[in-house]
Amino acid sequence: MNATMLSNPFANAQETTSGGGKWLPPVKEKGKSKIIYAKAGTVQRTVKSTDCFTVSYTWASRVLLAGSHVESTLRGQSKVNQFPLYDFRPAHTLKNSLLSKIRGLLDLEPGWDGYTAKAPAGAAIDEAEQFSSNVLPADEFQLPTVTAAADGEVNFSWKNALGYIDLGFYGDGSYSYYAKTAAGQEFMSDESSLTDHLPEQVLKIIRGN
Amino acid sequence: MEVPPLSDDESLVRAFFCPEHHDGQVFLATAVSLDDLKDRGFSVDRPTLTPLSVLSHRVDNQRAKNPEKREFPKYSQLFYSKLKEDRNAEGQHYFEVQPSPVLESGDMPGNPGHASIYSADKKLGNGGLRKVRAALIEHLNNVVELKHIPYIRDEAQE
Repeated sequence: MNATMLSNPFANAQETTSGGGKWLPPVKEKGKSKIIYAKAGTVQRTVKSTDCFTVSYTWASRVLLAGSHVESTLRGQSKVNQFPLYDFRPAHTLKNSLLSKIRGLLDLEPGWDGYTAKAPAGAAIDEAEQFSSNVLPADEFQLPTVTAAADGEVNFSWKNALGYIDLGFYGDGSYSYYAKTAAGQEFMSDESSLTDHLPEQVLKIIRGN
Repeated sequence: MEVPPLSDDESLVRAFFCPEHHDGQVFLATAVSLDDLKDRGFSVDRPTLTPLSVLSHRVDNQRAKNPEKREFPKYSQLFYSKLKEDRNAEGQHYFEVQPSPVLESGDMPGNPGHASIYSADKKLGNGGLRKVRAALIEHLNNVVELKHIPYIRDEAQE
């Protein structure tokens, strides 16, 4: 298998792909996505590597490549065959910050409030992640306050000059919300699909502008 | 345990903790669970029936269970008459408040002044309950100092 780098995101960094010097990944700047194209045999993969939502894909890729007897190192140095150059470090994007907050709730155990609180179900945490990926604007939004309730809810809330949103997940395959704009207009849903989009007025509160 | 019904001039008190329930600026939505509004009841005290020693015991007990997130307690005073003013477009009350005295159990003293707040509309879905929760949080925003709340004080606490 002969892997070929089609585009090197670290083109300005000093690197060696065969013997000699020690390759180190450059420090990544702003949280913009880097797209790395790698050609491995007849298969070409495109990996948007700085989005945490693709981490599972990149890890799956690593396992696949390892299973294909690709002799390589994680530093991108090749011995016999080249290894696609992945950047496994999460970028400092808003969505990654949100994801980190959501996953922090995984630490909660039953009774976390000192009484009979339910721990958020894994399904509720998954739904919060899906919602973040599917419904929130790509890169322009205010981070919600992410908390758990004693009844197992994973909750997102926003409060700013444009209004208030209370939105949450229970692991039942949907989300519900109540929103009120500063002008007094109300929006609510008892059960929205995780791909259902929010009304524009509600999205304005989320964007904060 | 027989207790008198709620009267219109009565106030209700909820103890909460910073930063677990209040981040210093606003209440977190999850300070009130939807399940409490729907089924279990959101616990409050009727201070005219609750000894201050019962409140202190409970607050100390709760803080000890999670001291990092329960740095200090605060107290919200809600007025029963104001809760009854909140109505939906059909004129139905948002809230139903029921006395629910608690008997002594284990190391927890009994509380004759315990009461529970529910959503009056039992058919609401989660979106509707969130609206009721937002309304209740508005009432919780009336934060007062404990010394101004008329809990039953023992002589030693005077």
